[in-house]
Amino acid sequence: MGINSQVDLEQASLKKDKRREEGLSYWQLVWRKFKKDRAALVAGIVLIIFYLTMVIFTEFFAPYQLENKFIRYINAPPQKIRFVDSEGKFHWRPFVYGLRQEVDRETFSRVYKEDTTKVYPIRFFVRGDSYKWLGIFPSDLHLIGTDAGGTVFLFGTDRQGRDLLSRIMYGGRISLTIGLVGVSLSLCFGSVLGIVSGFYGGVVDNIIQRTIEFLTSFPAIPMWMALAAALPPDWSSIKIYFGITIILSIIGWGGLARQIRGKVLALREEEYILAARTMGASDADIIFTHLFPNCLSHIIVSATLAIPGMILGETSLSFLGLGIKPPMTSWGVLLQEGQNIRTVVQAPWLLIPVFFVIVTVLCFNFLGDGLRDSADPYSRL
Amino acid sequence: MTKAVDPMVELHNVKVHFPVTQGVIRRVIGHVKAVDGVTFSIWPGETLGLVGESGCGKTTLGRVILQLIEPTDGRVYYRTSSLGSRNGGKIDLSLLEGEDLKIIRREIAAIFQDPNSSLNPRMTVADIVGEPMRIHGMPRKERREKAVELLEMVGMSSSCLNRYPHEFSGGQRQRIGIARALALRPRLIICDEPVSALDVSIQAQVLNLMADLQEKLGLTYLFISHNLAVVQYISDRVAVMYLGQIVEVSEAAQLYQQPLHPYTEALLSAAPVSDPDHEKQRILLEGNVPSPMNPPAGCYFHPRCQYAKDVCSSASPKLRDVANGHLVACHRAEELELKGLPIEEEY
Repeated sequence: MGINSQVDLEQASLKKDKRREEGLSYWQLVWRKFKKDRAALVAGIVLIIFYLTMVIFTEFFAPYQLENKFIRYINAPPQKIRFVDSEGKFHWRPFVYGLRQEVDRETFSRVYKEDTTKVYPIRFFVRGDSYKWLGIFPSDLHLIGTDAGGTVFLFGTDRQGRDLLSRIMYGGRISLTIGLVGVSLSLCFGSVLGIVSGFYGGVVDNIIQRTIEFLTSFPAIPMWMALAAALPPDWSSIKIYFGITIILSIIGWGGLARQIRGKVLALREEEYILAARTMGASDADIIFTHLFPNCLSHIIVSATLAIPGMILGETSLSFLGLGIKPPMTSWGVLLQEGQNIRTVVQAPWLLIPVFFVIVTVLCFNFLGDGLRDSADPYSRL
Repeated sequence: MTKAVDPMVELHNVKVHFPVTQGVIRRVIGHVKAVDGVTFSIWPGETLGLVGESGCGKTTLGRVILQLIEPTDGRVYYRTSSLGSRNGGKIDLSLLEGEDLKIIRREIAAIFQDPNSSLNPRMTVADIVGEPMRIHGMPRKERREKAVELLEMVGMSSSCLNRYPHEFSGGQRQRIGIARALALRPRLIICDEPVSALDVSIQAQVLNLMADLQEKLGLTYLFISHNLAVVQYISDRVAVMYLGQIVEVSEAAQLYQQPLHPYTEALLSAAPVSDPDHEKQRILLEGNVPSPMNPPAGCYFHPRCQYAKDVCSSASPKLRDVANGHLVACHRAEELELKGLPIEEEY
């Protein structure tokens, strides 16, 4: 070994010492443990993809706008993506065939067949309908599109001729954010009351807990329905959106508050809290410096596991016609449009939003489980 | 033995009775008499050991002095010049509020038993040791420098500052706890079983550290423990507690060789002696410790005492000075000849 590698070794061990001086913080430990849960990791990645494509960059990823109606293609089935054409030739660029309407001889209903004479290659980064990203930046760039005159309905169309994939993405924007906004509301309210309840005990605790029990004793869906029906019908879509969010979080905060209270009750007796009192720490000091950071992991886990409940709640309400109003769309609204037997038989692709709901709920559950298991990194399991 | 100095802490007939409630309307059906009439003093610069079995009230007593629990009766006095020299600097701790209380809290610190739960796992060592200083308004840079100083005083290097408690062993965590206790330059430290959770060899290290610090910084310790050997090693005077009352107080050596209370004798007979030729004559006490809700009449120890006479079940003995500062609460203290530990040979 030459002198150089000796110096390198020293450098490496010095660097290692420097790193050793900084201990692994709580969050670094959590991340280390979290990485071992494959399901949670995958769920996290899927959710990141969902949120990127459907919430932040919706206009870019969706081939069409929300209300683009193609009256010539009502109730069209999903167009198959092909690489090999009818003559057996392989194309590097995937393509779809055009659609041609025909009347079925027996049922006399409209049926779509592939027109192999019209080949529409799928192009990426096309210029399509213009939009304003985040309401500020104008653009017309779309990820997927095709030549003029062609259509790329990867999930088919609905009975007004609107592309379902695009509508699922725009609907996802609402469905995915309602969960987050609702849970944030529950969090703020619930964690404050939970900490106060657990820390002070006594009469305050009693009142808060009885209120929570009162609220949670109502069956969720009927209560949401009643409250949603009470929203004034002339409210704009945005107002309805926030109204629904508040309604969903009314029951949500109670459960969270109860869990936080339990955690605070356990933490209250720890010796470091006692030590803090000995030093003369005020109540506020103890709550913010000691109790809250130690509850934070619990709060995050509870919040993550509460989000699917909210998403399902909104989906149910909208499915029943009591939630989000058109022109705003959510997955529940989309499912409502597929709410009859004729749809199930003749246009079953309109039920695709169900899978998105299922996947989202599953992912949040896996993520929440993973977080919960890694939230206590001090146990050697 | 009278001393020329005034005691730092004086307890007069301190009682802590916790009410026991039953039913929805919280009817009080009795009291747990955790501390039942305790009177003693702590002199500046000494280490007073407080021994007793679990549940005798010694931890509660420590918390009363720390002002974490309010006594149901009795007074706790503390002498200091920080709040002026009114009344000879003698302050009734229970009357303190607000700013005054905060000032006094700087002077009385605590070391706790469990090194695992006495440090907040989410805070770095720098934050933990600096917390008392932060609460009392020291700016961040000063806190950091002082933290380095404190850690070096307890024998730990400054590389610990950015680490977390879970990266240290029990003994090291206890040292961090000691550093935290020293942060505001206290005069009195209440040590609640500080070495009970440590291995024996580490215990010795920590005890030696505490003795060194006492000499260097002029500290006064109230050392609460159930371990007789440890208390013997570190204390100047020892107080023995039973069922919420002090039964004997004396100089450490004298207590161990010539106990005057039957309970102390029984405790000492059970203590292991490191002489393989020593024949152990254990005094087995009959019965169990009575419930603190229902202490016996007269002397609390009489149902289990082998020397009990009629007077013991009717009259409560007072803690009195029978020989040169040796205090006992026993009616028969003068007549009994009790066995202590053999004098250990110095190696």
